[in-house]
Amino acid sequence: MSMDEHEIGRLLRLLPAAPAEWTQAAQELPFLSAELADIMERARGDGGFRDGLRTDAGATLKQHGYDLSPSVVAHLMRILPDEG
Amino acid sequence: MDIPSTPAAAAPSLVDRCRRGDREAWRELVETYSRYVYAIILRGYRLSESDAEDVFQDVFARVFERLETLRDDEALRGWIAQVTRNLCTDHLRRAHTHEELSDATVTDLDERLTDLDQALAVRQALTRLPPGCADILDRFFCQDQSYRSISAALGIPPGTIASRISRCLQRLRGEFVGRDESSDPSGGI
Repeated sequence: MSMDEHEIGRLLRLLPAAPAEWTQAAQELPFLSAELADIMERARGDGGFRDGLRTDAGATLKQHGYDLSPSVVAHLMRILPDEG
Repeated sequence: MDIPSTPAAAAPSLVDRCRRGDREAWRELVETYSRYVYAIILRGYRLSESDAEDVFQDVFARVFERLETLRDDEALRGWIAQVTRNLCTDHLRRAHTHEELSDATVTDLDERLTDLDQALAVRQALTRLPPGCADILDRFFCQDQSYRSISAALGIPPGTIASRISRCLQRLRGEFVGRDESSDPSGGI
């Protein structure tokens, strides 16, 4: 295989790290499916809870007993339904 | 050019552990392939950063859900690439931006993805270098840090950075092509 150092350097540049919060969420989400389904169900049926999530998701979730990392909370906000 | 299947070499036990719900194994799998998936989405399909995040999470969710269907653990890299490609295509189709691709566009995409396969193999070789070498190469090439920043972070003279990078690149090349061309017993740093 002929590959010089310049080519090796070019290939290294092609794979920058994914944003750390994306990676962390991907690592955690599969193990939180029950909690996430529960939160989504609640958000659909409870306007106050949904508004609380939009105002301060971290505090609202903690108040309701969910202990999620900021990366997962950020993901949750991306998939939160607009309306109940 | 053949691409060394380095990720696959460590894949079987990792995949088995993921199937059994081992969180640490899943963390390792995501860590190993996150750059690759990210690059396919952004460099291969050129999705926006916002769309890319949705697809990135969908890829790993699907990989986790369907690990049981992977018949050959050594095909993990190719399978993850295919899942990513499928989800990128689905996303573009939903967004009505996926017009019929011309042959030239498909060829261009295939070339970019082949490049990324090689890049992943180089990345895997990087993990087999001494930590000092891997660190300085990652800082320079992947994090785009200047000589001055690297010097400050690692506490080594700025005037020696270029030569260290060069030695570590030689060592990485040796690792990548299957032989160590460096005789520096210090690990090249």
